[in-house]
Amino acid sequence: MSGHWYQKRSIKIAPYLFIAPNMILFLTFMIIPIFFTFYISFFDWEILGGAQFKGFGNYAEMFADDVFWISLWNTVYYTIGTVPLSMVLGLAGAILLNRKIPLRAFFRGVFFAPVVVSLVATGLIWAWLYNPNFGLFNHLLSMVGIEPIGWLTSKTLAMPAVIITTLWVRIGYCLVIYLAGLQAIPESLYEAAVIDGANSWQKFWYVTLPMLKPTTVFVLVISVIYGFMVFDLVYTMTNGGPGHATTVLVQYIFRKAFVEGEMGYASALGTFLFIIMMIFTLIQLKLGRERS
Amino acid sequence: MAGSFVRKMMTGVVTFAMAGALLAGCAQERSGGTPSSGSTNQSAGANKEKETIEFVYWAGAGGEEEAFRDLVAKFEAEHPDIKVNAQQVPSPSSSDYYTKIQTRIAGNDAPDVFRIQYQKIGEFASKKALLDVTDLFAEDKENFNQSLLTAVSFEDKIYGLPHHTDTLAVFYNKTYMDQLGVEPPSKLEDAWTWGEFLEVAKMIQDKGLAQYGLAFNWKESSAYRSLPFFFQNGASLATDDFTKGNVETEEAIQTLAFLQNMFQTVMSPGNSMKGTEDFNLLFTSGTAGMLINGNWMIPRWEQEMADYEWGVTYMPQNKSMASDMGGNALAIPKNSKHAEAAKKFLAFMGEPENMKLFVEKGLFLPGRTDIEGPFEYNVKDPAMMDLFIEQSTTVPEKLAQTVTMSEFSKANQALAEALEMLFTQGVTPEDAAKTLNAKLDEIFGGK
Amino acid sequence: MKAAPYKTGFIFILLAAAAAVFLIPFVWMLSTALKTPAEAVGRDIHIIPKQWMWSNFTDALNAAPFMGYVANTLIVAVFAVVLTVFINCLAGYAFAKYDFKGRELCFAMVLSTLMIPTQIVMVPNFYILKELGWLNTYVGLIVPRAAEAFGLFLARQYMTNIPNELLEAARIDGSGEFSIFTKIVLPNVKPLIAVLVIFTFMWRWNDLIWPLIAISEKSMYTVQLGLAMAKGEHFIDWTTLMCLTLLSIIPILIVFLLFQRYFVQGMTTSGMKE
Repeated sequence: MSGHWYQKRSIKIAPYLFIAPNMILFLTFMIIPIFFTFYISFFDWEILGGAQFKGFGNYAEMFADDVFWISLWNTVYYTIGTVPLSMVLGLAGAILLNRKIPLRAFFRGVFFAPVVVSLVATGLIWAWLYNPNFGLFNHLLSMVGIEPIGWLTSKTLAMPAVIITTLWVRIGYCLVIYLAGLQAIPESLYEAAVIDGANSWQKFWYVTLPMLKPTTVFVLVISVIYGFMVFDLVYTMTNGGPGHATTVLVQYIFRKAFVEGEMGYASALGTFLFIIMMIFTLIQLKLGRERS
Repeated sequence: MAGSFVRKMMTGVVTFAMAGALLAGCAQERSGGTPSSGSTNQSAGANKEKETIEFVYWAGAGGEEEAFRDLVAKFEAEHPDIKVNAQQVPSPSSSDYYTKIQTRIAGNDAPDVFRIQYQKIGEFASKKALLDVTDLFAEDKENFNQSLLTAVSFEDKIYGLPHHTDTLAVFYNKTYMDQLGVEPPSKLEDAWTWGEFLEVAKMIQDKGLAQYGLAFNWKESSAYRSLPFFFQNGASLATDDFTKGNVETEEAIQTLAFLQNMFQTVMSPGNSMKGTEDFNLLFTSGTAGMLINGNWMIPRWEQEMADYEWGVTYMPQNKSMASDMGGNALAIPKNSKHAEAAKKFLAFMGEPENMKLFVEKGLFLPGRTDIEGPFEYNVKDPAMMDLFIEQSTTVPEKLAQTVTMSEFSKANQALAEALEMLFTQGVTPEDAAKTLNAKLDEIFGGK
Repeated sequence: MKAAPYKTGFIFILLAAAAAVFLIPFVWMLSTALKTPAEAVGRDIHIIPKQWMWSNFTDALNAAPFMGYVANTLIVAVFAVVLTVFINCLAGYAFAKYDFKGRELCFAMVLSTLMIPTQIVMVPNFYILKELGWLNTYVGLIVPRAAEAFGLFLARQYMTNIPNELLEAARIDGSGEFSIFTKIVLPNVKPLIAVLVIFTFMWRWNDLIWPLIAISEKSMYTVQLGLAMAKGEHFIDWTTLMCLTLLSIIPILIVFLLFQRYFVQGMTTSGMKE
């Protein structure tokens, strides 16, 4: 860097002005609201009524609330169900697509298309597919003589059903990111490995995977965030039911805030979610950086 | 150099602001205009002559949808200085109707008039969210159904117009009944007992006529529709003085057991409190042989029950008869910006002539008691409406009082949770009763 | 990578099978959309409709003022794209190429916004929109959402690859910072712009939560809001609903098919490094 230009004031001011529009918007519509939420979490506030200070009462209530723990467990269950599978299958698909095969772009398109479809549409289509009386799945089952299954109404099957829908959406996303990651690995590394006598599996393990690490970290972080924040699909397909089988954290927050009108408690739940998300992400990023 | 840089930034900011203003200008013209739906409402923003009030409502069937539209047009014709921005939205049982309304009221962006269930209005009134409209009833009070008037009152002031009431009965698939050789009761005193009712439902399934014997139009926000069964068995939700829960009685537990059995043996698993199954579709597609629903649905069946013949019979009875007190009121939020015009609309909807028009098209029972018959219900078979009218006389007073308490909203929720646990989690009736009672004690005792 | 032909063939078959599975939801949606309402809920379910009721689409458009919703969403999307791309490129450039105090902090703030579940900030946002007078307006739909953390990341990531020499040379020549941005940086990031355009369009087209907060006037509904509301109405059956769903997906699918390459590029530039 040459010496004279960074003394100009315009250069010092410029970055601040450039990031200003974004920062102002983030501040107004995200940061301030989240602080408002933090604030409200210490009150007992029903949306139409007045607010009463409650100190940490909401948080105490939260830890004593069975449904809270259930929703936390459901969220973890959902995340464990969706993240590894979508990443592994995405990687597998990327590896398969990373060769000269006919119709490559077509396949890529098909696997990625669910990502661009809105979650509202996805929820509606899949709810219809899962419909116990008129849906395609039960129809196919009935053709082989199996009784209709209540995909979304069964305590045990509801969450797996939502997970499957999620996989439909997320596999393509992981696939495409991995594909680019794969294509960035220099051929020379593979050639060197072959010279050293590596077979396919060893090539994968010792060249591909390590080179994909940054990609993997990124996909993992994003997928976990997505998993913990799931709402739209659950809301459209099961409403958190049956019972609390698919009540995930954000769904529970929504219910408490809007169906039961307990804004204070919902804000406490939301604050909790935000904090653990931050912690998780920081941990993942740290781990990602360390093992370089 | 700094000068030209700053100048360039300023240009950028000004352009940005101008673009925003331009957009806002577009928006000003856009908001308030309704394209393509046939009406020609214009924005009130720039228009000094007409005042616009926003009326939010839902329509459960074509009859009431048309009725609302006709009455809005009539109101506008009679009040050339007021325009009504009628917003039809999905019903509370299929959307978060009240969420939006509450948020808007709390955020000072309230609609001017909105439709609200009697089971909900107590909550809004007690939270001081509604406009006091007692003066509209100064001369007319005795001419309204007193139960309904109680529902819309709070601390001796009236907060809404008791627009109409309705009740539940049992719709049945006549084609199936004929095949079974069953003739559903046509007299109130012959109404099926619980046992007989369940038997018919089971028969429909056993003979392979339909997947399910019964569907029910209950869902979270309508959990109270299960109350008739409690009262049919001599049970109730609250003690007589309404200070405590009353569901740990033998009668109540029997009712819970019956409901659980009913759900698990003759109903679709998706027809629970949180279920997303479309109960009406179950009936119209012949997947369920019977459907408990209300009088306003008749226009829908006339249209949609193309493949089957259908009819309606009385609610089942056990120790006594009971049905649901349904219906809706119209209310004005306290912070409406057009209170006077909104009151005029409310008064208009409450006039005998207009109420008559509404109930005839929508197939309801009017909130007023002084409307002169005969009612020309827009229905193919007038006997059906007569059945509902007769059924509505079995609504127990205690049921009416229970659902119109100002805390009922919360009790409704507790009931919904208990039923969901009962239906989908296999909780025993005793345990469900215990949990429910504890919650009810809290709610009624004044939390 | 050279591979034996049978291996390629095997992989092809595997992929084809997977693709078929992935396409099932689309096929089913189309199939339902074309059936008569009775057939959709009849006893016999077939995948290929008995009659191809193309009229269902016109009926669906009559049932809900869908074209109006499309118009609204297009207006929002187009303006949002212009605004979002501009401010994200600007901010991305600043984060990538300037070393200023508070840079890490601001960036951390941006990252944190990803972890805010929109549901818990719905109510505060409603109040804020109300105070600004932006409820039921296009501005309210366009401006607040112009700050998308992902867009910012993509931009920053891409911009780090701009050679510093280019910028220094311009400064030595006496150009102002902003004109460096418009005259030198922007022309050099055309692929980024393409990606941002496509993504912003997709995010705005698919957004439900924000219109849910900001809009209560039916005339201002966006496509997703209209779709969600349609589901609850009594006069909408599954056939109509599937028609509307299909119609809501078509624009974004078309954009996707035409610009697939850029979509893919976009997802990958964001995933390359941390």
